Amino acid sequence: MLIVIQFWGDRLNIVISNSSGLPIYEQIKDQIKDQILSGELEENEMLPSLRKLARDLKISVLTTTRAYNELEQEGYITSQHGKGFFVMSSGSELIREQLIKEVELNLNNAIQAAQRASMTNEEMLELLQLLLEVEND
Amino acid sequence: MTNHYLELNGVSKTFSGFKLDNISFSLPKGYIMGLVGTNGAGKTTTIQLILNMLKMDSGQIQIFGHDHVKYENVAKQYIGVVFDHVFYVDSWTVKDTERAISSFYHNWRHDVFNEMLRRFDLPLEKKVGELSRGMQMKLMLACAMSHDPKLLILDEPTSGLDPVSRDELLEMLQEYIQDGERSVLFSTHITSDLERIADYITFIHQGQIVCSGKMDDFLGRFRLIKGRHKELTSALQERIIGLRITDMGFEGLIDIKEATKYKHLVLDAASIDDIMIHIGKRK
Amino acid sequence: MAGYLKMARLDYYTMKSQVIIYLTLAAIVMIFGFMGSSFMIMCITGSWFTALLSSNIFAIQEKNGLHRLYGSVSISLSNIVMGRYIFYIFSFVISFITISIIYVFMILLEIKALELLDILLGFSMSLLVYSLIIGIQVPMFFKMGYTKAKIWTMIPFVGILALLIIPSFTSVLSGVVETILSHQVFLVIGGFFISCAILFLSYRFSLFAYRRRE
Repeated sequence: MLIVIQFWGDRLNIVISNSSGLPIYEQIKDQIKDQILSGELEENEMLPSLRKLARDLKISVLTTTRAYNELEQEGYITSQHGKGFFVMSSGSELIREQLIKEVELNLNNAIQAAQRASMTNEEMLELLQLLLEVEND
Repeated sequence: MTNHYLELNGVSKTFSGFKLDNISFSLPKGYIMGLVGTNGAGKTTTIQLILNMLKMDSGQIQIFGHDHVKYENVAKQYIGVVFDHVFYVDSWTVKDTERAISSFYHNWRHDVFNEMLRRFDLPLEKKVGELSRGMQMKLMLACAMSHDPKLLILDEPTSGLDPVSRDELLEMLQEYIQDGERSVLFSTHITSDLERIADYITFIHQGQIVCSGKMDDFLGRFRLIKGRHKELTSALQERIIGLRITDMGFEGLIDIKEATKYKHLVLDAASIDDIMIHIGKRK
Repeated sequence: MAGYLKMARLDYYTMKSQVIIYLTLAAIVMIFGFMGSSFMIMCITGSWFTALLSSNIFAIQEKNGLHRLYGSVSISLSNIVMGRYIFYIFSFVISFITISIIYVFMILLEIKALELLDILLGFSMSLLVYSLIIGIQVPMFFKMGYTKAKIWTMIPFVGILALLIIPSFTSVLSGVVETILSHQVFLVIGGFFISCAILFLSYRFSLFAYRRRE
């Protein structure tokens, strides 16, 4: 007896909102980035082709092209000529750089908030240490 | 083969009372281009010139990289055409239509035609004149696509169609360009059809090209500006296209380069409709 | 298959639904036949009606916007015009054959008799009448389209009808018929060549007219 099971859960899913205010290509980028960073999209996993994506989402090919090109520039995906687009390994330098940039941004935000709250540098560092200890537990 | 399936350069044609003036645009292979404009703007004339149904006064048209007149008969083997009204004899049945049309093409695909009939639910024995408008469009599309065309030219194919038929057509067009080797030129004044699926857009107004290029660039070039009466300076008034003043305030279209000076006012993204409406008000 | 032949075939498909009308024509001719006309008169009547009915192709073309069909397939302007003339000639041939068959029946029923010269004369004279009518009509149709040209194209019909009805013309006509009957061979050949010349000139006019159509 042959049982065929189909998994839908692991596939790349993108949902476009017309009212989100964000351009469509941005929404695609964000959702793919999220799924890469969260691990839902694994390294070397192949993404749908530009045209297949455009057709499934009912958008233009140039829109998907822009999204994929920008993702490639930012280091999240890579294109292999003739084969398609693939998720870059998550250990890549570029992704790490992006994540480090994110840390820098968040730290700057924290510093600014701390300054508005009139915290001293020592107080800030103490807080940071405390949080790290909590994280590592 | 060339990368651009359709190239128009300085195409002009004068009629009494109307002039199509200096039309230039090009459609690369693998993409969908929308040709928009109000009724009478020159869209149908442009298509007729491309198909050599009318002779242009000046300019150059290249189809698949070859002159559209010299290579007319070869080119048309690879072009599928759909018009807003059915152009078959109304006493023909669907079957008669295939028999009449297929004789003109070297590469007629009877299997593809039948598949499309099945998909569209078009009965073989029904007369063309008895089909609903949507079914007539589907018949034209079936004939247009059954000889392996590389270029589809559609002149207002969705006018008079219900939303379901329109959606089916758009889906077919997206399916058609999947292999990246085919292009679509789609003229319409129903812009919602194009807004999402068209890669390129050419906007014709009163016989002239307003702009032509990638959809993103087109939409990104303008903003819709809105504000209160007191904010409407004379400098701003000069820059606004298609100004509309009501009791509540004003609104209009503005070039994005100018818009940077007016960040204190409401600046919305402009849709194709907004652009068409305000440019239409301009002249 | 050459472009103009494809066009002629398309015209045939276009007119196919009008077959009933063509059969009615045959019936009318039969009535004439029983009224005691000669073969030549029957042929001329037949070709007169055929010319009238065949111009419906322009009507159907206009009504259904077929010029858009012609514009989207691989046929040139000269193919379209030439094909149309081939279609008209084809209609004439069919009508001639039909009348001949009807006449054969009448011969078998011993109502009529026929000689070779009568056949040739019938062919030649009816071709001449046909050519005169369509030779004038077709370029007008190509230039102005069916609806606008319709009034003007009635002229050759009205002209010929007048010839047949107005008494002073009838006497001239009987004179002409007598001449025809006394110089038959000459007229058979002459009629045929004049018809060809008219059709050729008409074709050239049509090409010119269609290029500058409204």
